[in-house]
Amino acid sequence: MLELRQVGAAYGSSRVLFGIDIAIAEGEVVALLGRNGMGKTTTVNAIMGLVPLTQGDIRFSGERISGLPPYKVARSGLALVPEGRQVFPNLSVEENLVATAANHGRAAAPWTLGSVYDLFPALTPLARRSAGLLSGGEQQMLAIGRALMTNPRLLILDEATEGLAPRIRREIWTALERIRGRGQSVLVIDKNIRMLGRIADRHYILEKGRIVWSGASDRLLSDDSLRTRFLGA
Amino acid sequence: MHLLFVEQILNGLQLGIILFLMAAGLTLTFGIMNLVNLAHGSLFMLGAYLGVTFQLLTGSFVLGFGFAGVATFLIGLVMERLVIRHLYARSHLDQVMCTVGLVYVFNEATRMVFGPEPLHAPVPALLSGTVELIPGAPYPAYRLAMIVAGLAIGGLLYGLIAKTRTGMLIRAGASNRVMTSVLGVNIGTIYAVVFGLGAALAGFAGFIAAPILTVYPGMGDNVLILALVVLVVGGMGSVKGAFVAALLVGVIDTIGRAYLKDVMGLMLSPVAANTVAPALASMLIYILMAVVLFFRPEGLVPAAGMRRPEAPSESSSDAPPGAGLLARWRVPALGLLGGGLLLLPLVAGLADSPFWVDVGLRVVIFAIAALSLDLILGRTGLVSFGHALYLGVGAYVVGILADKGIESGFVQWPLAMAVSAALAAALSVVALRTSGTFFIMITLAFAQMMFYGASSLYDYGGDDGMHLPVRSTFGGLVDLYDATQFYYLALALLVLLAGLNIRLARSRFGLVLRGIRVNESRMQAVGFSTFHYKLVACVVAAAVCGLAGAMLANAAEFVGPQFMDWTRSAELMIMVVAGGLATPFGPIVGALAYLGLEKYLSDLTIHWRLAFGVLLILLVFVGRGGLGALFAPAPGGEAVPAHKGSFRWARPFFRPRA
Repeated sequence: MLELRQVGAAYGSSRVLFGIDIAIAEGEVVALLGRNGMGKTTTVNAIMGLVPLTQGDIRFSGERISGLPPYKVARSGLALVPEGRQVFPNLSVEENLVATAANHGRAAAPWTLGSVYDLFPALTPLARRSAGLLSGGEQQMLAIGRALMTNPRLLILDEATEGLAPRIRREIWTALERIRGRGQSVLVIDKNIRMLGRIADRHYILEKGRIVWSGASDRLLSDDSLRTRFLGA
Repeated sequence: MHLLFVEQILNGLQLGIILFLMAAGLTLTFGIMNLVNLAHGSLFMLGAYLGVTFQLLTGSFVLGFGFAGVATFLIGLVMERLVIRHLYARSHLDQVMCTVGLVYVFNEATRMVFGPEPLHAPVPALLSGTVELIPGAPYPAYRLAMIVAGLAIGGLLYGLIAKTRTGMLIRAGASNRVMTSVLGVNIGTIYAVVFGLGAALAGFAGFIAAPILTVYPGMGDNVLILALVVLVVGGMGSVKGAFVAALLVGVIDTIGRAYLKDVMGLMLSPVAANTVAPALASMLIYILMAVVLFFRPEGLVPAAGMRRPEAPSESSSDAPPGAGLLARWRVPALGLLGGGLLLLPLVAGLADSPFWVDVGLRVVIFAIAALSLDLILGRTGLVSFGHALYLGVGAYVVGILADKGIESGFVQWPLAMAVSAALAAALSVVALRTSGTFFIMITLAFAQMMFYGASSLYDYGGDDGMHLPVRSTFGGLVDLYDATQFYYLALALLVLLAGLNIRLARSRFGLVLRGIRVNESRMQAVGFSTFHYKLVACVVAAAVCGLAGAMLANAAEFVGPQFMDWTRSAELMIMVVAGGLATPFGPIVGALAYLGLEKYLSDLTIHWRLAFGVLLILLVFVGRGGLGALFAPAPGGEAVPAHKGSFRWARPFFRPRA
């Protein structure tokens, strides 16, 4: 469904990605791993059209999306839950969910306010509260809900559990498993290999702007050398 | 007295409503697109002209009202598409220059189409009577209807922003543009809609204000400046703040003009009250603005969740197109310029055209003024939009002293510089508390404040200004009535100041200013109290500009408030940018180019400002770096002057207080 071919990207004159190949199939959950500064977020930004490519191209359901402005990329069926959550602080929780809601892909059973509140019951009593006043975990749930409300064919999560209390993390992981259970395709970036091993089908490891390893969950979990070599854990 | 007071309050509210409709559009475009749109006043004017014309055509006030809104909305959309859209990512200086160009274009186009005479806007018959809100106090029905209509439009705007999905997206875009587009929203469309909406609000305001104001080309400019004051007082980007501040400014301005004289009469002698009160009344709202800024730099009701206004920093690495193109002609070109200036009186004498010397004198005086502006605009990166203020102050010092019988230039000129410097010190202490857009607006407002203050100096000609009774005398050393002597005196001063400018640029002080321009917080982090450096730069620039003002008064043999009109400030800015920022010769070239072009175009057509506005817009888009850049050394090769270290310079003059 999503296919990155030999993608390179740079910020000004400093190159970050050097020819990356990633493929995600319909209904698949794929994880992107790597230490800090290896290019994970840049990869996501390149997919969303936030960083121009220096080489290669990106296709989504066969259509070329590289070079499109971010809003067109999003409308083709991608949604991003960005690092740092980036909810709209001056909008209420409900407005955050409603403002950008869409169903461009004509999903048969689209996400609604009800189903998002059902996924994250903690948000229900906060509907009218300004999003800037939420806790980090609540903001994270809101950011995920907001992305789901655009009914994406591929959901991208960038460090969705970073900096959250363990109890909140568990809630987020549980929610992700439920989202996965609906057949949603997901590209997830995270540091928790154990949880990723459970939830993701396949993994890519990025190092210094290159894919250095890719494979299925059982191989990742069984190979300790991978973790020490590329993930520093 | 009581009934009259109520009436004045209503008048104040009505002014406030007009200002709110103007400020709402400005604050939205600023809060969401980070754009300083000085052409907003033109939309006010267009709303009045187009609406009234349609009203006269159809005989229906309602149709005129609708047409004013629809037409300005569409004009706004076209404007956004063609020009404004390309300014979002540009520096505030570019935005100011380009939108001033639009003001020229709109004002002149209106004058061409509708003629220079004011347009009479009829009050609809239904509202031509009076209403007795309070028994015994008839109030014009139309004015009351204006307040109601304004409140209704404001209410609709509130509903749109607070309750609709479009409003949510507008607010979302204001707080996080990138995230909004990542979620599939075409932010460009939102921008266009917001801009069109702001344009329509200005158009409505212009139309409903038309029957009580004079409809003439340029009518929007004064309203614009009041709206900018509202914006700063209320907090940029905040619609609620704009509402509160607009009513506050409207009421204070109206009440001040009506009652300040009586109140001051209680404390001062009638003569003194009669002199001071009008001046003070017209300055009142600017004083309010200064007070608000001093205690609450973010405004009364800061916008919630908006990102802090910050100027998109101009990346110093991209060289303007054509930079260094004529680099090898640099020395010959400068030689030609210098030789031309030096030999001008001789050539003029040979050509039997003595007025060339007067033109040359004007060029030299404006070159000095532009050079002083460049110290803050070009070298320090502070976009001051009120520099002509000191031109006026210098001129008034000379004028007032001459009127009092003190004619010696040895007294007048230094005093002109000293008064300018002192005023700059006081104003800059307030203005420098702000940065970016706020700084642009507050400098503009201060200049406007002094403009109105000078207009109220009835002993010195008021609005009309005064004839300078006698030119400055220099004890027989220089005779300013001799055009050639005056010219060479001015030229000598220009050469001296340009030399000092070059020296300054290489000094440690100049390097600190440059550091501030590139990255102010880094300068602070390495231990410089940038505020003090900026303050000194502003004071020095003001003193030099005051000198130019003193000379200008002598050259024109006239002193008037128009010396510090905001268009004059814009002209100085244009000269600096056109000539090339942060170069000693740029302002000179710019002054020559500007005044030369003005002379050439105005000989060609009376509508020269139209062509000029277009040129200005082009300057922003194609002529970055100005004429000076053409002659500058090839990009990248800027030599860093060797630091001549002396112990005195080894430590910062000003360090942040611990």
